[in-house]
Amino acid sequence: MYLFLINPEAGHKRFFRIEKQMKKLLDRQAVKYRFVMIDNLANVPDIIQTNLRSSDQGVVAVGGNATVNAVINSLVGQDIPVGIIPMSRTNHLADSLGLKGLPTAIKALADYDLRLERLGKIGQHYFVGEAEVATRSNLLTQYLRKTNPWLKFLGLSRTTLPTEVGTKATIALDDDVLVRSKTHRLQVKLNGEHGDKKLKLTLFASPDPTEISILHSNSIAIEGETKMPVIIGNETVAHTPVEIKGLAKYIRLIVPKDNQLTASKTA
Amino acid sequence: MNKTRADFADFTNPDTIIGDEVSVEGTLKTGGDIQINGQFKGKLITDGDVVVGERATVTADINGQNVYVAGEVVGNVNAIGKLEILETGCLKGNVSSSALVIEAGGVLKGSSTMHDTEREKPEITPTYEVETGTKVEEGVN
Repeated sequence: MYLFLINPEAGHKRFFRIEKQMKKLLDRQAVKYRFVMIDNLANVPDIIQTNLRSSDQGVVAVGGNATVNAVINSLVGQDIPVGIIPMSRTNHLADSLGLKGLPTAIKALADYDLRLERLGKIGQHYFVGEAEVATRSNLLTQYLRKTNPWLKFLGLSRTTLPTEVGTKATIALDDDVLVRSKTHRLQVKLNGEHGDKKLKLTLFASPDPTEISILHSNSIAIEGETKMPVIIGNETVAHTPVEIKGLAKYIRLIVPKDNQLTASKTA
Repeated sequence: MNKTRADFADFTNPDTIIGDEVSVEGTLKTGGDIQINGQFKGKLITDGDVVVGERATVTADINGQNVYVAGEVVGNVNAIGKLEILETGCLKGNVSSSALVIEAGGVLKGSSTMHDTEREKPEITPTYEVETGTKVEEGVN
């Protein structure tokens, strides 16, 4: 049986619209479940402690990026598999695991592989996958390009990097290497178990997406001329100056069987 | 794998890249290929190949498998395989490698040492047999 932790606010209260469909799919896949509603994401650790049974197969996060992050952070250090039922269209981790859409995500609970994902830490916050650091103007410009109805009508809403000058940043890698550069965007990705280093940093120093720098380290400290948000999925978890670490800790995620993915191994 | 110049021009998928407008300082240790198009100062150690691009400025000792210099390097270079200084390259420092190629226009200011490599040596017939002490004809096979 799975413990489903449901964020009722996620995806504009999407759960209530699809609840019947979800139960039908779960029954069809013979997946046993127990629904528990999350009243506040800060209470997720307590909710898990109160509701999780030793016989449960795992915990399923039903919600968006924030819900998934909250569940993962609550289960660090416990060998409990985590499943995801995405409620929003921008659930990046679910997308990267091949959990696109409700039927696929539910089928994965019945017929699954367990994938070991490396954990990273930003301050006191754990994460999996990747984190992004960008100047506010770059994020705002990208958001406006995506959502402006006139741009969409004219077919100009493609996502492109803006032409604004980036912010000067200093990035320390493992206390061994110092990087100085104008920074439009930084992508910090957790490397898999067999990587030489735990983190891969991709630095976009100019609007040209082909002009990148790639470096590897176990920890990254970023400081910019201006404060830059650190984003996981679409949730801002911190601002610069910030230290991001790759850990020798893992969490097991429930993925569709035979899912060919990078940066991890299946258990 | 030894790269030809054409391979260097399309040096794809390096493990580490230092971009055009980026300055890096420190000791960079990695297992894969490194491409430098910006500035690097310090020490560079890799099991893979190193490419110093045309607009790059490197002030560092470099240790790698094959090293290709199309920009400016100030420092000593130790290439286990080949060191190639291309026509736009300028290297000021001492170098050691198994093979050294300097294209027309390329500059090396420093000393060069070649790594010992296996070479075919001619067999020489001994002039005396040990048992009888009989002198035999000298000859080279």
